[in-house]
Amino acid sequence: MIIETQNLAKNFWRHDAVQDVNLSVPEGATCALIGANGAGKTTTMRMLVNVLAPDRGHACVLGVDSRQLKPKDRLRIAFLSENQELPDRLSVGQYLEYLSALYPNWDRALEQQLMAQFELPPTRALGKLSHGMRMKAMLIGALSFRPKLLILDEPLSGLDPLVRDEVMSGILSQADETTILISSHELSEIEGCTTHVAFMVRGRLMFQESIEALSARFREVSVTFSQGDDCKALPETWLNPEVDGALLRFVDSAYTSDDQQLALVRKHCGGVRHLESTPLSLREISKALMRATRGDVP
Amino acid sequence: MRKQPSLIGVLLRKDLRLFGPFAALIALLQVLWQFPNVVSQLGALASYLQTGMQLGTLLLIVLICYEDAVVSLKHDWLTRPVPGPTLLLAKGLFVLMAAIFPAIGGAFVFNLTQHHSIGEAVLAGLSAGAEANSLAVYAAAMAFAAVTSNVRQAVIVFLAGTATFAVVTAGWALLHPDVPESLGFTGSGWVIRDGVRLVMAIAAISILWLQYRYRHTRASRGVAVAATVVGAWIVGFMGWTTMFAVQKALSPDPDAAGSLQVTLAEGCFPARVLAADAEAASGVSTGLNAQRYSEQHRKVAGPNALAFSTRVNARLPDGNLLVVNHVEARYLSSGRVVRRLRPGRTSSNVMKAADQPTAGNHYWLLPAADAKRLASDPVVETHLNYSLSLLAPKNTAQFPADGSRNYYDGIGYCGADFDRTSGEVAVSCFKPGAQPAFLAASIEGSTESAVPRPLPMNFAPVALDFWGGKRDDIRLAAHGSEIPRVTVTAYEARAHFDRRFIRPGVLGGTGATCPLPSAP
Amino acid sequence: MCHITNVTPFRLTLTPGKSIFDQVVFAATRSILSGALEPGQGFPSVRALAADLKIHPNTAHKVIQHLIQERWLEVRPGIGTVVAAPPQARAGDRQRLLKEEVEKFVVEARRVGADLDEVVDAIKAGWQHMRGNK
Repeated sequence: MIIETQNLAKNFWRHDAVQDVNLSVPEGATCALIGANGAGKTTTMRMLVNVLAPDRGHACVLGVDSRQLKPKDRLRIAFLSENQELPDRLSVGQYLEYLSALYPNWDRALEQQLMAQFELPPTRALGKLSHGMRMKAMLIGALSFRPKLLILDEPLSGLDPLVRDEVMSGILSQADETTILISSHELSEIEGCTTHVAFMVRGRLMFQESIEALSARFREVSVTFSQGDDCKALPETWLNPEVDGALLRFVDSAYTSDDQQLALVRKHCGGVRHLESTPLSLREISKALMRATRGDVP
Repeated sequence: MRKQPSLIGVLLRKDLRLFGPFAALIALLQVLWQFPNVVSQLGALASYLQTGMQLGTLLLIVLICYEDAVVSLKHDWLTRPVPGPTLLLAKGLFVLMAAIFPAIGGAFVFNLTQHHSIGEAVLAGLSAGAEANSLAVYAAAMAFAAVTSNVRQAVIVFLAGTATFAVVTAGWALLHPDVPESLGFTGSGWVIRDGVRLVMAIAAISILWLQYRYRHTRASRGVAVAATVVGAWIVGFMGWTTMFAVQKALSPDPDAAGSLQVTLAEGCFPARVLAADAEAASGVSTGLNAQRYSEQHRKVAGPNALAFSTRVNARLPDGNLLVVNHVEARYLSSGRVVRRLRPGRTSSNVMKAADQPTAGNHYWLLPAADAKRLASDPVVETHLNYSLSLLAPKNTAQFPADGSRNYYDGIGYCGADFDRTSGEVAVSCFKPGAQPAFLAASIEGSTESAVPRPLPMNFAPVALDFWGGKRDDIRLAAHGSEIPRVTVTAYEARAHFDRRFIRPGVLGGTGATCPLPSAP
Repeated sequence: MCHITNVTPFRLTLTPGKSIFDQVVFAATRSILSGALEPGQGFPSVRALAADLKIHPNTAHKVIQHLIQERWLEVRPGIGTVVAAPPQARAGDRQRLLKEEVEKFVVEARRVGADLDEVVDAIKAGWQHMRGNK
């Protein structure tokens, strides 16, 4: 495992930002960390790189306890967050030159290729860059030393569609050589390259699994009953159920097969005239989960 | 990972790129300040410029540290292969290069322009540029920046701290109204100065290590608050008794004090009642008139205060001096202290064997109500406590006032110039490292001697005093047209001790023997 | 500035339910069959494919390996991966398509309630569309 945490927890002034998180990210994976704002994603990521120290539990990153991360370990870890404080008065070129001197494993050729690809003006000060250009500059600063682990905290937020594309291309160009942990709300953009998904709600990790397994068990279901709505005690795995006369709609989070699903509907609700079940995109799964867990009392 | 020296170079280069112009300006001002002849040309602007330079230096230090802040969740360096201690070294080096090396260089060059020897120039350069005060303050500034996250927070904390200190000291002064004493200017003032410096230095080093190595912000802030409280106490609330207790503990030769004869003049204390408004001296024979006391002292004492004087004498070995550091009167009734009192300012506190009777005289003002209350108490006693220091001459140097300069053991590099037209002799000495307790200069053949101002006494132990050096300038008046010969004497402290005199009553005797004078 | 690269001539709109691998393979084979990609034309590299379609390079790699294995693409030394002539259908393919695939399709069509005419029209339209691209 490239990342492995055990009961990771962090409190801020009696507010439990992160509780009992057991996250595992295998090597080579691209793990999407999703959850509503304030779910604890940024705090978790900060603990992984020891910007914050956990209050309880521990995190193992590249085989090293996060609290013991030495500078030589950081040669293989890149961290990118949308609100990093950069030396704003340095130009892009000067900033990258400074970084390249910190890493013996810096790949100048890759840096220049990315500069050309992103079309960044090397003499413009970092503080004078648009948000998109700034993210691209930070990305070059994160990719050019070919890290083994790339942690990205909302890298696509606030970017226009073209820049989003460019940033994704940049990330993907190195994705086969690195393990990625990325948090983002732009789920449609990252779905294509995601291999694993971890979902956080109010500081807790609800689940983590491969995207195939996740897609396999979620279905949007629409049922028309033979006679009115006669449903009793709907299963908990049926999220956000909506009833409208003889029509029932819900998101099934434990789908195994059409037959099994039909049987379950019949069991709980009686006669079924018509059942339609469609797979969901990552974005839709995420929305359903967030809606289902919004009012949860922890 | 890159090696430390090259990492430091990389970080310095980056910081130079970011702060080069500002740092250059500060460096220039620091150099400029070591040339008093240039500074004096600036006239009134000089003090503003100096404050600007000092604040500017602190601002630069703080900005440099905030650039890669330790108290942060967002700064780039936190996730880069930069070890904390290396970062600290890089920042420290930058401060050295921007503030300290220029000052050292400037002082060095200035000394050379004054035709001082290379040896003196080097030592003078180091002592002026790498002054213990500056080092402690710069380290404290770095530590302050290491426990705060940005300039705005720093300003708020600083203002809040200063305001709290001001409020507390004002409150204390209200509760204990008395004539303020400037302990820092006594020979034992080093207790406060070095005490604060030590606290600052130890705290700063601890904080910087805790933060840059471990990022233990809570612990560091705890150290910062504790150090500030202790430092504030030392500066504002230490009190003479504690300060002198430290001094006495370091008394070199306590036996020398034991054999010394110090006596309080017999008889009643001369006394009169001071009317509300200041009046011209009448009854001048006792020397007790309103002019003896500062306006503030008279204000604190109130109208119709009881003015009285006391006198001590001492039999001193030849050449020795007795310094009256501090005098306090306590009125005790049945063993309980009912009032404390301190005398007004004195012109000189150095008693010599030969002359200077005035050094032993002290003038007191007791508020009218207190005088009446104490006088009506039949068992009241006056305890007069004198904190004294015995100085003996240690090294002497004699040389003509012809501008020549030499190094004299125990005194330092000394030389004198004689201005025939004004008859003024300007003596200039620089002592590197540990300072003598007292320095005095005189013209050969004249009994009158002069001392450097504003801080003639220094009883600091060698261990604390070895860093730095001091330049003293003494002005003497010579008569005649021939080049006079100057004698400079350095004294060492032999003993620090207290002597207490107890008299019944308020004015040196019981109410019957020494009654209170009536109001005029 | 013009980059001379092998641009991916097909788009990918991720539909949930089918694996990305399957979707990309289908899109690629459809492009080849419809003539959008001609034999001898260069096929995008793993990196380019991943970047263009916003998929993981590992997936892109698997796709290309599969297509090479199935002889939709071939590797020409010195040039790279190029489109091969559409492979001959294997012996059982035709049988499989006309019998089993059709049966699946008919069942699905009846489930959604489409009638025969609708279905035939749709097949004709699809066929024309592909031919038009040739």
